Amino acid sequence: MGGVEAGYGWGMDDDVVAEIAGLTKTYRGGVRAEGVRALRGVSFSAGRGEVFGLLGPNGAGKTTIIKSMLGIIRPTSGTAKLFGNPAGSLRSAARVGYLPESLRIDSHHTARTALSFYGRLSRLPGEVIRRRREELIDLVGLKGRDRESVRRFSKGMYQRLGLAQALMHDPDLLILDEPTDGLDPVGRNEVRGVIERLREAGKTIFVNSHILQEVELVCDRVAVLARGELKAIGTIDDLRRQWSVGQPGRMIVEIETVDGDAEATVSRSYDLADQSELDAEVDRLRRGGASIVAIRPRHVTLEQAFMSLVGEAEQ
Amino acid sequence: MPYLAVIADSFRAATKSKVLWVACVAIWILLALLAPSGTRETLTTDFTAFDLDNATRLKAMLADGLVNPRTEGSAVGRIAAAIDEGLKTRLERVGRGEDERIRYDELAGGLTGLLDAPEGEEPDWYDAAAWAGLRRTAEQERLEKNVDDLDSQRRRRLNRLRILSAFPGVFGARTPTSLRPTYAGVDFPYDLPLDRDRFVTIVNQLVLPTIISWLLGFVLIFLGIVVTAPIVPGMLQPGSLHLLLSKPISRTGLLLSKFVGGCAFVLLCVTQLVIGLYLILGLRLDVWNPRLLWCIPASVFLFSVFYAVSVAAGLLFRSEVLSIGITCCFGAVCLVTGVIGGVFDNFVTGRDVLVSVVQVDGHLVARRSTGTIVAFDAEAGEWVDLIDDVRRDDRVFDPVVIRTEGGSRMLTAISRGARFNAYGMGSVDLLVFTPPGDGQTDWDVQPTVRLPAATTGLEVVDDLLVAIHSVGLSSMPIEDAINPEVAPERSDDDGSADWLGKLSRMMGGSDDAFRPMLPPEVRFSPPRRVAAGGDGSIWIGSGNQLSQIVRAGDSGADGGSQGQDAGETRWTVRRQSTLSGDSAMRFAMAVGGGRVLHSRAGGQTFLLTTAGEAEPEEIELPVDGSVSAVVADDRGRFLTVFSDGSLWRLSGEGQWESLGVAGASAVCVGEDGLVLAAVQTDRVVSVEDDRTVRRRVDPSVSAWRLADRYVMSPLRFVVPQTGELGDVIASSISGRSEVLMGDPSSDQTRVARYRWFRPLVSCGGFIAVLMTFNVLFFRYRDY
Repeated sequence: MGGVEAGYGWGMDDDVVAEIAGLTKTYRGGVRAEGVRALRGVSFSAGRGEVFGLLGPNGAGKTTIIKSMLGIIRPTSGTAKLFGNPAGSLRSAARVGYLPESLRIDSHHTARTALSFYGRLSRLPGEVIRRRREELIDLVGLKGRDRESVRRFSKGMYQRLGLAQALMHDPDLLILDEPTDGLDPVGRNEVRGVIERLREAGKTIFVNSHILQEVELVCDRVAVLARGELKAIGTIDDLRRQWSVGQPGRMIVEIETVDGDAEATVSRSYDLADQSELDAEVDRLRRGGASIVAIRPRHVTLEQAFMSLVGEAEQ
Repeated sequence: MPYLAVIADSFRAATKSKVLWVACVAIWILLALLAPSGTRETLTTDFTAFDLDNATRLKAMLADGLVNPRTEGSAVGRIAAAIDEGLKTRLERVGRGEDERIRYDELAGGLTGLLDAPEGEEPDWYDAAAWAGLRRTAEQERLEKNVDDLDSQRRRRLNRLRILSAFPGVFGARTPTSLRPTYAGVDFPYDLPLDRDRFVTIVNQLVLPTIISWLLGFVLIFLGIVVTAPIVPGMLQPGSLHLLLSKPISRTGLLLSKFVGGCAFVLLCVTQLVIGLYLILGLRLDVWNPRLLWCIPASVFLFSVFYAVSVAAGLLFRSEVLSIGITCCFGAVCLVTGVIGGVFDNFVTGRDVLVSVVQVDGHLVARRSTGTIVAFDAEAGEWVDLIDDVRRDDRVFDPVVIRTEGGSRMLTAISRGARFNAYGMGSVDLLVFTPPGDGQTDWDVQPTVRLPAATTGLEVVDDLLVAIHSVGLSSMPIEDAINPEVAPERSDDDGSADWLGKLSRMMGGSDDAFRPMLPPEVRFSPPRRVAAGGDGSIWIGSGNQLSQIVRAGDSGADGGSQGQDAGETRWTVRRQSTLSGDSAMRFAMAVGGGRVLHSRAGGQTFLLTTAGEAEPEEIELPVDGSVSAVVADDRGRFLTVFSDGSLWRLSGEGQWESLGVAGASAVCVGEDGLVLAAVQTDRVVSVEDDRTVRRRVDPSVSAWRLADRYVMSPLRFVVPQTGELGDVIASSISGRSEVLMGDPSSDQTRVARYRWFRPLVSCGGFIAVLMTFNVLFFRYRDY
């Protein structure tokens, strides 16, 4: 088992919505092929009201984690629990809404019939189905197109319908796989608004997205996966800070100087072990006749942090 | 509720299917084409070839009427003289002893030409005096009384009845009314030789099951497979399956709901078809049969066999093309297995089935369904042929046992070429088989007397051998019949030297040795049975008439039996009863213990006490089916084999008791008084009085039979017998457990039992096993 084991010490069990512990999954190969280890002992947890992002390159194990949380696959070892119940159990499934990545709704449906169908699958009473259907059609902006066959829907409309069906039974946990895929900027903004409102309503949301900016904008915490291992977990700022201070026990700073009579300033980055190394470097620059204009810790984007974390794993 | 939602969603998907709408349009077109069909009841007037029970006799009688001066002025003579000139010329050639082939429909057409007469007049050929001595039916008498008031159709009917009465022993049973098919109000040119009841039976037992089976088995099932094949592969697509599996529903419930919902297509199509047929039959043909609605679940059941395969293929390969291909291959395997199984049934086991069995001096002798007469060789442990030269068209008489001072003998005969003409060609010799003595193995066979033409069976009454033929009964002393030295000399040239004798033989006139014995008031048209009364009397069942005739002693007085000469034993009617129900339905009959059991195909059964004048009492049978064989034992109890293969005994108190035998095909009372029953193709068991069953004969069987037992039977158990589900549909529609294959009045007509148990079990078991596999596969697989 490698990678990072992380989690918050939630004060009450009720606050822990998803709990993944030592999750390992090996897909069986063919007769001669070796199995594929998709997850290697991943552990983390997510609490109520949290928007949790899953990041990682293709094949990192993000989808396998989601499938494990939904009970679509059975882990080789380890456990996945939602609301204290085994993942995939009817109890946990009743509180989960899911938007799959490549949603497929049978072409004989309209938006209304599809929402009714998935509402019935979620065991909602007819009256609730009717009420929620109207609310959600309004919410996702499908009003006026709700009686059309989904065959005529664009990718964006399809995605909005998918989001609506995931919300039909007012779930406590929402798992969104590429929720803004195919949406225009306005649509993406609307989805972000929906997620924001749900977070305010105390819902827990898992977002699996390739669009790091999206994750950066909406997620409270993210888990970075690579090759089936959890490489990092924390808030966006945590990840940035972690990368900006380099490897554990090291720091990267940018020192801006003016050499002698020169008018222009020069900026250089330094990978330093600690404060004494920084002091020594400042002393060295001063001895060389340079004036120190500024000393700044280096700022990175999430993408830079992500690439750094994933790049290490790939190497 | 979520599972109902999945099922309902499948129905919604089916209704959006273009293939469904194409199928629906095709069904509506079919129903629209059928809707103008109708029938109109008409009086039976025209003659057809199917009316002729003994066409040879008709040909001979007409020829005789033309060339024999003694028939001039008689009814036959007048009819023959009035017939169409072309036909008359050819009949005259027959009368002169020349070979002249006349087709049955030509004879029937010739008679039909005599039915019309000028308005308000009698036909030229009719003369009341000539018909005065002939036997008339009640209908004929009724019409004769009102002859002046009859419309043209009723006149034709009356003329037909007059012709029928002129030719006894020629015509088979035919209902007084027929049905004229109509289409959009336009009459078809020909009548169906059926009354409404028989028509309803045929529609329910043959027409509808055929339409439903064909449309369903070969069209709707295939369409259903094509339409439903994408359901499972489509469900398994990640974007669809993952969403479904994220919902609070079990995988087992999801798959089973998809399976049930997948039958929606066939259900919708079949429901339209069946309800449409139900309404058309009811509104247009007045056949209201709610049992037709059973076709809907039966059809869906049949489809679900194939759909279970389609689901398995979809789960394994996630490809609709492979699902369709594999399901079609599976259908082909079912079809081929069913066809090969049918071939084994008909040509391997079916040919070996014993249809009658007797015991002769301790030896068991039986007749197989092919007609072959076989005897069991205990040393070899197998049946050996006594008569094996039996061709497809031959008819071999049931063996009859006689016990004389010289030991027991077995009597039988072969009528050659009797498949289409029940009475065959040429002459029939009595064959007397003498069982082998101690230390011998071979039976001695001796042809003795020539039986009357058109003989169909033999019966022994005291010291008389009775030949049953189309015109009536003839008898001769047994001792004379079996002794070639005493028996009258046979003429090997078939009497062709004497043209009048030949005509007489064609008409059913007996050999000199056989004396006619049927009183004129006894009806003898098919269906008919003859049984010895045990007290020297003979019971004759014909149509709905049951007659007992007895010897009245030597008599030369008037009023004796028809054709009986002075100085012969005269037979008179002691008792006559009329039975209710379908008089044209074949029946089984036995006499014993002072009672007569008369059981029609279909199950209507009467019990008549021979003493006194009590009317026949209708009794209930213990099983749903027909009596296929019945004999009385020494204590007057009736041993009854039913069409389902069960063997029952009717006690003197009228109680039925099962003898615990399955698969029975024939029964007799052995020489030691035990019941001997042929069971399970060609085994024989004995049943003691306390109903203990012991195996008497378990013959060694051929390699083909072994292949059937150890290869085909297990294979037919494993492979669902979808083809046989047609029987289930037919049984559902008709509400009957069996069907008569052919003319219901003919003894040759086979009673086919509907096979509903095996197909239901094999198909139901197959669905259960395959769907269990499907559910387990779906439940434990990662997606």
